[in-house]
Amino acid sequence: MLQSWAVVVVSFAYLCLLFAIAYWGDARADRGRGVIGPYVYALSMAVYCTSWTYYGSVGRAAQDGIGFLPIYLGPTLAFVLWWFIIKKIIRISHRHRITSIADFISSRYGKSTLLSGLVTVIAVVAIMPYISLQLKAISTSFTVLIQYPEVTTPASLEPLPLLSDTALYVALILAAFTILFGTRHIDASEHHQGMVAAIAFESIIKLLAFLAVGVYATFVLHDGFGDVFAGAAGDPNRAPLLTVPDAGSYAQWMSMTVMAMAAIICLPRQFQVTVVENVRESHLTKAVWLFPLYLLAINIFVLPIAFTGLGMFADGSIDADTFVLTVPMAGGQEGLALFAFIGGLSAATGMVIVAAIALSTMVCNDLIMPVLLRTPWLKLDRRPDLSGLLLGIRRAAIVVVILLGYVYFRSIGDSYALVSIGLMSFAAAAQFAPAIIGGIFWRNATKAGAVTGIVLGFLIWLYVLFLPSLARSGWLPGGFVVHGAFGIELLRPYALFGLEGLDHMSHALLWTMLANIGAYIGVSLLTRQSALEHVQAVAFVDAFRQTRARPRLWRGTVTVANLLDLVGRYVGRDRAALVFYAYFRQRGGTLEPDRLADSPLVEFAERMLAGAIGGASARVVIASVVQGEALDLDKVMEILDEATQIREYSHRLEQKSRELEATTAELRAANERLKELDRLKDDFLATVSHELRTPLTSIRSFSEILSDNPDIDQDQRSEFLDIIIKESIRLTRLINQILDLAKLEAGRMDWQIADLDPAEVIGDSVAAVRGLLQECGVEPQVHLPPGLPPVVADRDRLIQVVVNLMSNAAKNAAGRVTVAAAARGDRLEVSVTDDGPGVPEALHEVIFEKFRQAGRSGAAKPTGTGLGLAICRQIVQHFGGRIWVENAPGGGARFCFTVPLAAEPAMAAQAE
Amino acid sequence: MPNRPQPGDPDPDRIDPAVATRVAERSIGLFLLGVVAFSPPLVAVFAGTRFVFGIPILYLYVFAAWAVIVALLALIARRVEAAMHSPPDADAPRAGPPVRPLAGED
Repeated sequence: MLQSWAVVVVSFAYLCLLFAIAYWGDARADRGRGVIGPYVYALSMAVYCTSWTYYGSVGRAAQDGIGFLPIYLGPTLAFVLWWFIIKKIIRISHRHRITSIADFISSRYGKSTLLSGLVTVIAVVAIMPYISLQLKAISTSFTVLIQYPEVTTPASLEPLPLLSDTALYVALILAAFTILFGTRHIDASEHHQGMVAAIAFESIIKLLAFLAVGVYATFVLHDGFGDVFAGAAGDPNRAPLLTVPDAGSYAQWMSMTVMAMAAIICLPRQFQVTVVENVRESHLTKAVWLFPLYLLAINIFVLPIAFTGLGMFADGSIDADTFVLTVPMAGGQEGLALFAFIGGLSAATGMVIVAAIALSTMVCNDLIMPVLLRTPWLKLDRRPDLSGLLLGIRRAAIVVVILLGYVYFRSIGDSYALVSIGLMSFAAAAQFAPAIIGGIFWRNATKAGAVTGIVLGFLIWLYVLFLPSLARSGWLPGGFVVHGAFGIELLRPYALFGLEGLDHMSHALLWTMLANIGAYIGVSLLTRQSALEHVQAVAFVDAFRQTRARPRLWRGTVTVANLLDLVGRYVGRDRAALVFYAYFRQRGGTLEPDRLADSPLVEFAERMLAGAIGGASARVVIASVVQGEALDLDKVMEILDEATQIREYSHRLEQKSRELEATTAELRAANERLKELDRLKDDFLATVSHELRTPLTSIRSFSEILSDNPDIDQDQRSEFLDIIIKESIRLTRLINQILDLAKLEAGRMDWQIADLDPAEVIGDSVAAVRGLLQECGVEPQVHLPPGLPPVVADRDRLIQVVVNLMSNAAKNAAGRVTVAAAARGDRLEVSVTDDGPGVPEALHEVIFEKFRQAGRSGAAKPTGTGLGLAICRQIVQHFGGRIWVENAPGGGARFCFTVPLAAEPAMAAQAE
Repeated sequence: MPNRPQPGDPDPDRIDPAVATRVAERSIGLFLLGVVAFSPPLVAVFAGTRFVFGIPILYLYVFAAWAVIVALLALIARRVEAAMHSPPDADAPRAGPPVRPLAGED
């Protein structure tokens, strides 16, 4: 059954099945029913398990027991952090239509062509040999299988001649498959539904095949797990594998875990299936635990198979890397052996297909197109349709990558360089990790930092891992490995700068990461981002916070038709037209070819192009057609600055207008006050003229009577003359008071402020009014405590106030007027109390206004001028005191006022 | 365009912020647990040729720890899933997702 033709037929049938599945998947997707659900998505991630792990895990387990596990524990740990890292990368990639890991990194750092090319070169150098390894695994496993029933180790077999080597045909078929299902769309950010379906199918096959071999080894050849391990424990060769490796391998364990964590995100093929082929973010919720579960499942039987193989081929004649195949062969299970071979084939082909797609996309979009677009003599911008060229480049890249892989494996043969490329490619992919992880969390990381870090990391990787591996395979003179480059001991690649005692991988990881992360952080701290870098950095770091609004980067003039034409050249006319119509329909507009494209449309076009040719190239292309080098971001920043200034101006204007408003309000208030004063003045004048006219009228009337009646009798005459004199006096007093008040109000009064002894002033005042008081039949009483402190006031004015209050009181009093004074705080309070009818509560305030008198019911006419209290108030207020009226206990009114006391030194001077 | 979200899709952005914070915290916690569980010194504790059910205790430990981590990861992911599918009504205050698939949490 295991004749070579039969194996060939089965293998080719299997590959045909892959074609069928992929075809079915694409056909279904074309009908609008995509095949990529959460389970297919999770299974496609298992492309991580290549033939290197399918066969190699057992080989490694046979060497150092549990030491193979970090390769799977690392991805499990990385997926635990999916909520922070993988989800964010997917979100960003969807939004920016990222097509590959090179595109991702270059987009983050300002759509840098340099960076995208750099990442592509590193990926090709690191991954292409890995593809060789897969082809080699196919070839080797085929060679081993067709020896059946003989079980021999591949090392003792002659390599097959070229034309009968299955691997060559498999490589060609894989190239055809990849071209067919990997380059269906010109838009590389579109999903390869058929391809993913086929990969998921391959993941199932390799899992089943491995489990089948494991069950066979554990439960058929042995009596369960216990039996396997019991047998191993009894064997001195195998027993050490049951325990943990010594402390020296701690470093290896940890570095492999770290590398695997990085690889699950940074390997181009993992980026392809996890990020680019992700249809919905929500699929992650299934995939994040299904994929680690898959890894767990495919590793359960690694140790049993390894122990079984070691027990079966105790002489060491068989390479442990082939145990998956040779254990069933030695057990005579032809069908199972064939199934195991198919499983290995599926692991290898899955990797080759996805890696080829990822690499070809990168080579085309991130390496070749940017160069072509910048080569003027190619006149690419004149070509009516570039989609054909794009697909051509991609297809050629696929063929070249796969065939180069084949050639590499044929020429380098069964050498160290090939066998160790698995972990070496992990270490190379890990060089992208700082730029990616830093790029999505650290906003200020710069392009210069990323470039320096990746370049340094890659150079060290070349020197401490890749070149020595070539040297050990005899492709390079090995002297530098032993003695260091140029014979410098410190530069020995496996003990760089004298660092010894670590395995090669840990050693390499330490130095590359030290240089990479160190340079990334250090250079980022020392350099500044360009404007575009900054915009992209914010878009990446704030991917979850960001709304759809993005800065408008284009400010040029290009018509919709021109833009459509441009996009059409790269993605195909029909598709471009379709997408543009959809764009306008979604926005509720119509496609008007002659209109100028607005900024969002230009950006939309750039994103469309980015999906086809990568972010860096899309930028170049758009810039070539949008006139006025629209994306001069510094100009954008300038505009922003202008906007800031304008905002500043408007802010100031607002402030000015607010100030104006305030001034206006003040003016209005002043105006109101003026009007009020005007009204008061009118009132005053009216009142004054009235008050003046009253005595004048009476004087005139009596004078006329006297003049007209010369024979009036003597008594009457003297009575009339008496009235005339009284009224004249009143008139004079009124005029004096009006003048006083006018002076006071105008502030033109002459004030002679000095320290005064209040007792003396009050005494003088009482003496001045004594006559008037006696006339009214009032007895003044003065209550002054001895030693009153001096006050600050104008003597004459103060006397005027007291006299005024006393004469007022005398007019109203029934028989007694009391003057009292007392110091209260820093003031002297003087009160004048009468025993008259008092002042009604309602008039307590207004009584101090001009011409307001407490009109007494029944009284014919007030005798005062109505100005006295007003003058008193003016004077007291000028002194800084207060005047008020209150009801005296037992009836009567009490007028009080306060005058400030003299300051302490003056008092002291007075006391002396 | 198949990769554009459709209106009815479960949307990770609609997750209640409180749930999202919890998911983030638990993810970090689980990661630390994983780092500790697979750290070489702790793995070395299980070295030696002791057997449980005929299986070396070292292997049993590593695979059991691995399985537990995957199971906890699945629980976290299901919590996210439940939150994503809860109705996105902005008006009603959402104290928590209506579906609480994780028995015995908190």
